[in-house]
Amino acid sequence: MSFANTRIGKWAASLLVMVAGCNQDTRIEYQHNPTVHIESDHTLSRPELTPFTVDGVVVAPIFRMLTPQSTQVWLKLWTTSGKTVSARAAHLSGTGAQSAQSQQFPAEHTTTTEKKDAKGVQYGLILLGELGNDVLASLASDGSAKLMVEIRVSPAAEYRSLSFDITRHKTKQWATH
Amino acid sequence: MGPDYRPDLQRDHGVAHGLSPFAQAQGAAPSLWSAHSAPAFFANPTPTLAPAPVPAAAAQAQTPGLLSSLWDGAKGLGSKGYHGLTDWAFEGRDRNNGRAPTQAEIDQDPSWRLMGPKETIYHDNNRGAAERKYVRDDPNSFLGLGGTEAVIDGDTGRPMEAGPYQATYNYVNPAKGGMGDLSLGGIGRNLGHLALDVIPYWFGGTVRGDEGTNFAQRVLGPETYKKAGAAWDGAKNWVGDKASGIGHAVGDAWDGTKDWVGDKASGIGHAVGDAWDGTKNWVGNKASSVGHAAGDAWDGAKNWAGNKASSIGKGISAGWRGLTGWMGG
Repeated sequence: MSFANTRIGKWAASLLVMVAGCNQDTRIEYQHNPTVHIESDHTLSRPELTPFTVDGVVVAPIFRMLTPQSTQVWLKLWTTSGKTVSARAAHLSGTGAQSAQSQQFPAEHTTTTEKKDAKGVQYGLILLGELGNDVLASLASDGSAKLMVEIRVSPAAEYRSLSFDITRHKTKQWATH
Repeated sequence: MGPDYRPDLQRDHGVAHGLSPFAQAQGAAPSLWSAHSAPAFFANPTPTLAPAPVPAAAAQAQTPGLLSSLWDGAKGLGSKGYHGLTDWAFEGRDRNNGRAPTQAEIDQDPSWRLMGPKETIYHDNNRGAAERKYVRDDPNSFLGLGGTEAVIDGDTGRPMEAGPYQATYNYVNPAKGGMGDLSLGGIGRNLGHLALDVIPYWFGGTVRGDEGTNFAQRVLGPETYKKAGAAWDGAKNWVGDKASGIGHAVGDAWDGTKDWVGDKASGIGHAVGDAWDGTKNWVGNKASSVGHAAGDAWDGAKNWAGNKASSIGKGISAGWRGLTGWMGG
C-alpha cells in the first residue's frame, strides 16, 4: 500500500490541498523580459541584450513593489568592469489606449558599477523614482507599458536613448514561511 | 509586530473556547519540537529554583543512587542531542537570517522582493495594518537555494525581530514564478521550500519552546485561524439553535398530544358520567314510580281494609245495640 493510500497519507494530502487552496495569492509583477534573466543567467552575451547595451553596459529596468501601495523603478547596470553610468529624462508611458498617460522621472543620476553578483558580474544601481501601484496598473492596463531613458557611460560620452517594453505578469503564489 | 505579541495572542484566544478545535491551548502551546513537549527523557534535568532546606533524613532519602544518576545523565544527553538535532530549525535559521534589516535599508536594496498578502500570512500578527514580508536570495547558501527574510510591522514600520511572526531564513526560497513555475527548478524550489521551511514551521513553530501558537494556527495562519474559529462558533450556535427549535417543536407536539388525549379522555369521562347519571335518574325515577304505586296500593289497601273494618265494626255495634235492646225490652 502506497503512502498516499494510507489514512495518514490521505490526511496529509487533504491538509496540503486545503492549505494550498486557502493560501493562494495572485501577484502582479512588471518585468522587462529580455533582461530579467541576467539575475539567474549571469551572462551579458545573449543577442537579445544588444538593444539594451550602451558601451558594454547592459541596462536592465527593475520594477520593485516596495509596499502594497507603491513601486520603485530601478535601473540595474550590468557590466564586466567598473564603469560610471548616468541616467536622465526617464519616463514611463502607457501603450495603446493608455498612451496618453505617462510618469516622468526627469532627475539625472550617476553611479559606478562596482558591486559583484554571485558569479562575479559587476553591477550598479540607480533608483529612478517611485510611483503608486494604481498609477502603474493604469499605465499598463493594456498589458504593457514603455519605459524611455537616456543613458551615458562615462562623463565624456553622449547620452543615448533606450526604450524598454515592460509587460505585466500574473503569478500564483502560496503561503511561504 | 512588536515585542508585545503575547497579549495579542491571548486576546485572540477569546474567539475559541470549549471543545472548539480552534481553541488556543491554555498556557503552554505545545510545539512538537519544543523542549516543553519533548518526551520526559528529553527534559532538561537542571532545576530552575534553589532547593528548599530539607531534614537530614529526608536529604539522605533524596540522595540519588547510581541508576538515578545514570538516568539523569541520559536525560541530559538526550536533551542536548535533541537540541542539536533541531538546531537547524530554530537557532540555525536565526544565524543564517542575520540581523533584521530596517525598512530604510530595504528601500535602498531592490534585491528584497515584497511578498503578497497571502504569502505573508504566517508572519502577519492579524492586528492593525498588515505586515510586509520581503525575501532575498542568499548566494552563499547551499546551491544558492536559500534566502533571507525581512518582516516589517505594518503598524510601527519596524522590523519584527523576535516572536512567532519574526522573519525566518528559508533553506529553499520558493520559486519566483510561484506555483505556476512548472520547470524542474521551480517545482524543486517549491517542494523544497514546503519540506524544509513550511512543514517544519507547522510542527515546530518559529521559536523554540512555547511561542503561543498551536498547530492549526500555524497551518492556517493567524487570520484564517481566527475566522475559522468564528465560523466554528457560528456553526455550533446554528446547530444549537436548530436543536433547540426541534426540541421546542417536539415539546409543543407532545403538549398538543397530551391536551388532545386529555380532551378526548375528558369527553369520554363526561359521556360516561352523563350516561351514569341518566341511568341513575332512570333507575331512581323507576324506583320512585314503583314506590309511589306501591304506596298508593298500600294506601288503597289500607283504606279498603279500614273501610271494611269500619263497616264490620259498625255492623257489630248495630248488632250489639239491637241485642241489648231486645234483651232489655
